[in-house]
Amino acid sequence: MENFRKVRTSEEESPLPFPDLPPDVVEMKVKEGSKIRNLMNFAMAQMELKGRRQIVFSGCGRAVTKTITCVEIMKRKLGGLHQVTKVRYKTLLEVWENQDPLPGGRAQNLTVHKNVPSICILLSRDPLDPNQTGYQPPEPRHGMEPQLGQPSSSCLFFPHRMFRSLLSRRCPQGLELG
Amino acid sequence: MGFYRSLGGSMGPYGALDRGYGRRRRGPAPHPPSLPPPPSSGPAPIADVFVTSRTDFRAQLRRCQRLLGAGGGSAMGRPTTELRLHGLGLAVPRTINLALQLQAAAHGALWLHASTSSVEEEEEEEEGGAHRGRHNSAIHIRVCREAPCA
Repeated sequence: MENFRKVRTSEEESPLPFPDLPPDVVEMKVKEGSKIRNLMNFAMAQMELKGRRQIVFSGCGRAVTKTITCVEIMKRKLGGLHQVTKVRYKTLLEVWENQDPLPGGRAQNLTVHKNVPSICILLSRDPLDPNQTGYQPPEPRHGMEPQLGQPSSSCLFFPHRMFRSLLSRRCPQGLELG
Repeated sequence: MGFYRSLGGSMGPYGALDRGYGRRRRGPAPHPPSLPPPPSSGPAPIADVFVTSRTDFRAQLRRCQRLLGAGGGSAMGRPTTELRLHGLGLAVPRTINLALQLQAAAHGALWLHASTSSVEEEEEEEEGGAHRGRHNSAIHIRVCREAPCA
């Protein structure tokens, strides 16, 4: 395998896992090297200036985290968005080429099918079916933020962060012993 | 030794009476320990799994399968009906992979309900003593054995 070099990577086209989507829905395909600023400028313009009601973010592999980040930024900026999250595998086709020339003089190619985890997130201004798997209702607006002593939802999932968060809020300079 | 010989020759320091100590019994114990009966009511057992990028993936998969399998919720006396996988930052793709592998191993008999959130992480203080909040993305996947868990 050390004589092979990856020459091309392509994705297998697969339809979006959301039924009943309008055909002209915007799909933001987030890549590993995409800039969040560029993605958000385009997506926010579509939602605010063009008045679109729905948008889809999708990403695979190491771009999954960036995809979620974009969605969270959009939810925070716009508010009142309904969300449906789907996870699945996406098949990548990698073409590897042998560096050593064959006796016949032709190149020897190897195609590798690789399954990588991917995520597709639908954001909608219109209400969605709350009974479908992956549905997430809009979060309450900023006036309903939890006070000190009332952990936020994310703190409930990561309790060690709640402890650190409370500690730093109460004692910004750190613990004073004596 | 005369004392032991007077007891019949079988109760010496290493005789029949001493033979019971330090030896593992075979077969069922005469009086099995009585366990409290499992609770018949109450909330269904739910297990939370925090996925990290440093732990061995196969170990995490085995742990989840053991939790979901029969007797997984042994502390409650009932099997776990729902697993909640939490992944933060770099561990998000691995969390999705774990959930999909669990579903594939169960031949599609598991339901995945994914939701996302952001977690505020507070970094080291800057010069002015002000805190600069930084958000990190997180995913939470509920793995249910029964139909919709929304």
